[in-house]
Amino acid sequence: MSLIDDIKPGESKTIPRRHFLKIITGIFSGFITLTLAIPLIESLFGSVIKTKNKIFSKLTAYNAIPEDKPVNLTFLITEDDAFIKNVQPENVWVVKKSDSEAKVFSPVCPHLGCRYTWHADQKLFICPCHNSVFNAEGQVVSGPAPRPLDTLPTKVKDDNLYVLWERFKPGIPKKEII
Amino acid sequence: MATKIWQWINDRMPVAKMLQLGLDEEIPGGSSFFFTLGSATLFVFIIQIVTGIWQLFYYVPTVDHAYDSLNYLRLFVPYGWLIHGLHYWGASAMVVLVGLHMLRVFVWGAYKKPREMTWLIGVLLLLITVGMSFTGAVLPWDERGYWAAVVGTSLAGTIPFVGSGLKFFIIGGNMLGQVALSRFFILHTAIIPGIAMIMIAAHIIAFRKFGSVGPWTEEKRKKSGAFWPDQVSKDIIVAAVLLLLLVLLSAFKAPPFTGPADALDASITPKPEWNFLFLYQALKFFPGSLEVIGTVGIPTLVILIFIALPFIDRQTDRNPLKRPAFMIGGFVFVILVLTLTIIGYNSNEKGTEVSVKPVSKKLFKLSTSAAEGKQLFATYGCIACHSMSGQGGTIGPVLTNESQKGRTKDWVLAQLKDPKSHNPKSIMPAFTMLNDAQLGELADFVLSEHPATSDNPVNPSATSNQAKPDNNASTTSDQNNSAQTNADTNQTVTKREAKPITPGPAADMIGNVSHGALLFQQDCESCHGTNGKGGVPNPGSLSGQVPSLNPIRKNLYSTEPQTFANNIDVIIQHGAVPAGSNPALQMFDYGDSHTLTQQQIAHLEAYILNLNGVNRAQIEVTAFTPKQYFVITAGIFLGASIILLLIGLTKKNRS
Repeated sequence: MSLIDDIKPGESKTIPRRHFLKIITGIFSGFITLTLAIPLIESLFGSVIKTKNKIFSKLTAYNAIPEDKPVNLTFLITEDDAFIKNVQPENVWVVKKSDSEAKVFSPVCPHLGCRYTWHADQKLFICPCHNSVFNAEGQVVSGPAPRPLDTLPTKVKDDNLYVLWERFKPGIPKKEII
Repeated sequence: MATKIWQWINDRMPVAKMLQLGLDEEIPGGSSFFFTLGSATLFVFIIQIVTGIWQLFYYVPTVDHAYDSLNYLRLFVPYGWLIHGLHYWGASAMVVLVGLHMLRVFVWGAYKKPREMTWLIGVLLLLITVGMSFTGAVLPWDERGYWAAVVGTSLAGTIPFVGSGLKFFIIGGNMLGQVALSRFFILHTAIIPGIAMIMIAAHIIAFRKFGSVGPWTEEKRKKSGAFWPDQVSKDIIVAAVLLLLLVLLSAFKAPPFTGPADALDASITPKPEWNFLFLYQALKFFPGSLEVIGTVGIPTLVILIFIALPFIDRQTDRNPLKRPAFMIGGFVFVILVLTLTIIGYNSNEKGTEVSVKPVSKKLFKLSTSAAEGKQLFATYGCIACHSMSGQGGTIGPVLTNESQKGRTKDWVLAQLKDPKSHNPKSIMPAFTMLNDAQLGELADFVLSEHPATSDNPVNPSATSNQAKPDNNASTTSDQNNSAQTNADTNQTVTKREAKPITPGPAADMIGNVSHGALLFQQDCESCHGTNGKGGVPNPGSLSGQVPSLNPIRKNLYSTEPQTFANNIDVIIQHGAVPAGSNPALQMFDYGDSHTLTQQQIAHLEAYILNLNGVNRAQIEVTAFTPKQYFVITAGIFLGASIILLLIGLTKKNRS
């Protein structure tokens, strides 16, 4: 079927040629449409930033952390939101074992993502949501938590403790970065 | 079924009739590739509209995020490079096609009665294209766009009587900033394209009223061809080729990353987009008070001639051979524009050198020995601590005026061999590694006459040291974070105030490599060596040399451009002290001390990454790289063409 009824009487000889020109038009229109449409649609399926911001945040002077007593420390993290950098506070639980060893736990319960607290009288971390209980080492004592508390990468520079903020998938036995 | 739907629609709306009106037309002389220029322009205009809208999914028109948001689109969004590339190259294609289209109409005499209105609307569309080109270039708010806006609006300001008011109106104040960017944005994305669409519709309606003009000889006009499908198939072939060309340019010649706009940067030579180069070049012929002739007079005159053309050239014969005066005039005009564009393109390529020339007209000629000394001054790191003619470090005193201080060569030689001979507290290292001849050359250079200033902004603290040549150890203590030392120091500078180890804003900006190379020559080369190859001695440091940046230390390197930039940004922002007992040279805190702007640091980082084979503006790809995408597109195009050609040949044979 032609787009419009444009065949005039006495023109029948030229029909194959006209038909061919219409095929040309159709094929190249299709080429143009696809060349443009595929990238345009795909561009709306979000960005492809691979690397997260891998910057260590300063927590505090290493000497200032009490030994064998979990402390909650707040610091600023920088998070990428497309082309904008958001600086916001975050916190971690720090357990210093000795002058050379400290564990830094993500404050997010590995069960379903609530924030747990330290109960000094029982010497346990307890999550208020579903009663997941962890000891000062981060190991599961009781409750539904599928894995120990998530530790975060740390480093010590100029006697200061730095931490790399990361998030992990809750609810699964494996520690998996989001 | 399809026929039924078609029938149903046409019973309620005359779609078929409208199509007929648009397509059913006889072209005198038959279809021609010459007549595809108008539709090609329209095709590229549609590409501009679509890619323009798509860019708005990511771009934000604010001075602090415009450049970043555009780069986010270009590097991190799938096919963002293509969307921006098509828009960038499409803009150039628009100008070229509009020019060719006008030239075709001019040669064919197609503006003659009764098509004057079509021509006049066309002239308006030319102005609209120029306006889109100018306002669009500003939007990335990068070095190129910012300076185009500075120069462009200043040009508007030279218009007699209304100029300053007009400039104030365009930029929304006295200073080019956010309000100006918002105005350019609204002009570019709403007002001008809105007018353009109305005018294009009017242009096409006016064209349809009298149809194609056809050839000028009666002989050729006898046969005729249909617009649909004869002309349309030619139009679509040209459109497909154009699209392929635009994809090619986007893939292989991406728009430059010129770095974020930096109003303080004197090392850039603003040069307009290529389509304004002829005007830029023409301006150079009108110095001083005559300038207004170039800025306003000539463009106005050209537009007036365009408008008047159908009313001057009124004879009915369209044959170019019978209109020699007009043809010669048009030919001369085209040649003039092309020549000026080419001269403008090639002119002042090294204009950036202007920034290191002395302001004063006085000539400062160095003796051979002093010229040798100048080399030593740079390569042995003197310039890292001492500034000369406004360039160099701030740890030691300024040496620009040593010749006028009554110093003798012996005094300078003694200072070089044993700095403590004049001031026991001096922290200057003894340059015993130089031989006597070299020391003499260095002394000659220091005692030569030097230009007092340089175009480069001088670090203010550098001048404050001027009067205290012997007290160098204590004069810089006010600079807390820079590589400072205490006068009585034996414990040296191994430790500084606790420094932030976080990168600054520059780490997130995408700078320009060649601009970075220039800054590197001015600020970094004296210590890090030519092209960052290192090899410059640093007495007192553990390695004995200033670290090479090419290749750079392994723990700073990363294939990931952002990580790499973060790593070196920390050092450029906050400085560093080399390990060792008493290193003579230290890395300055270029960011903290505001010696360099964040934009300039971004340029340097792009350059240093480039030295190490990492592209700061690396595209994060999902499926295909730009080049792969072009190859695929070109392959499909070629495949389709070959199949069509074969079909065409077999059909010919059969008939």
